[in-house]
Amino acid sequence: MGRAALLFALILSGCSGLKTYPNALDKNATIHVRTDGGTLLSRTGIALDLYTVDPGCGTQYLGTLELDDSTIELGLPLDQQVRLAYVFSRDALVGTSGTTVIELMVTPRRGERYEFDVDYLKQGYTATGRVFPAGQASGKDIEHSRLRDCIPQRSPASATAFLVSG
Amino acid sequence: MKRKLAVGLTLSAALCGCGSLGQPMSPTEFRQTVGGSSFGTVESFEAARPYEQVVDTLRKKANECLAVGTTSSGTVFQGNMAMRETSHSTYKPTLSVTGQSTELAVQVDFGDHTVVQKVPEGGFYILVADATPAGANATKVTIYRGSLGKAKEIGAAVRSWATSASATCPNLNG
Repeated sequence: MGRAALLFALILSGCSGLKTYPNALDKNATIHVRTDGGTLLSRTGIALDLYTVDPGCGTQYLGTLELDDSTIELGLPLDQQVRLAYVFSRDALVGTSGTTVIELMVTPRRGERYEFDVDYLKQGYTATGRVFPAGQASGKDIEHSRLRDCIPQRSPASATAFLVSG
Repeated sequence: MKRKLAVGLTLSAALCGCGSLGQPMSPTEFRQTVGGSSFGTVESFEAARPYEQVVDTLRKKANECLAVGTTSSGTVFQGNMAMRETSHSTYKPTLSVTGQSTELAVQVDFGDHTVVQKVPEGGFYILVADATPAGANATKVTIYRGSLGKAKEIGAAVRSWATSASATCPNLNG
């Protein structure tokens, strides 16, 4: 069996490596999603990959959520660095297909609320977030930071640090 | 290997926007190269927003939209054989503030393509944008970019970010 046929068979059998994020924790985040679904010749989609990031910058894959045109309540693990990777994909019947990943890192604390706005429209895409401290109606923007900017911490007691380009 | 070399040469020529093989190694060299080439574009305009707001938007949107990795796949022909080829690109924006002037430089790294010349650390320069105050409530913006690749989309996005804080990310897919 050729490699392509094997890969196809693995995907069909659900062995692609992706798993659905269980989303069973107390809900502390809301994702507002807007998409226009693409065109006759192309299809667009958004997925959210979730990982925990340890002080050494190692990751543990928690699962993936397919984001459709709706509002989704999300339960993020507390007191751990969480990497949210929004994967914007475009599958074209003709021409090129592609994906772009926008990353955010957060460390949710008890009582905090998170709001994410994720759009994939004809003119472009966006993924932004705000965090609302416990009991407060006004939040602050979450800076975008990426796993590749993570600096491993030597002391296990200290938090993971990130450098943000720019 | 031949195909990778060809792709590398095409990238080298196309991304510098000048058709020559001398790669700009810094934003300053990129400005000079684009400014002196018919393949490059230099666009200057005044945004009706205070300088500090424009810089804040550029910083946020560049970090959100241009510090990304992309994967593209498409059909290429080798002889009469159609093959699916996948490529990865890593974009890197760098915002530098010096006194009353801000520079946004955008680089792209195409991974292990073979190129016959030195590539700047962080990848090829594809766009440089400068912002300076133009009075209390306006900002002068100058965008230098090549004419091919995603530089056009990024240039349009930088223009919209300078003029409006609510603009989206350019479509770098495909």
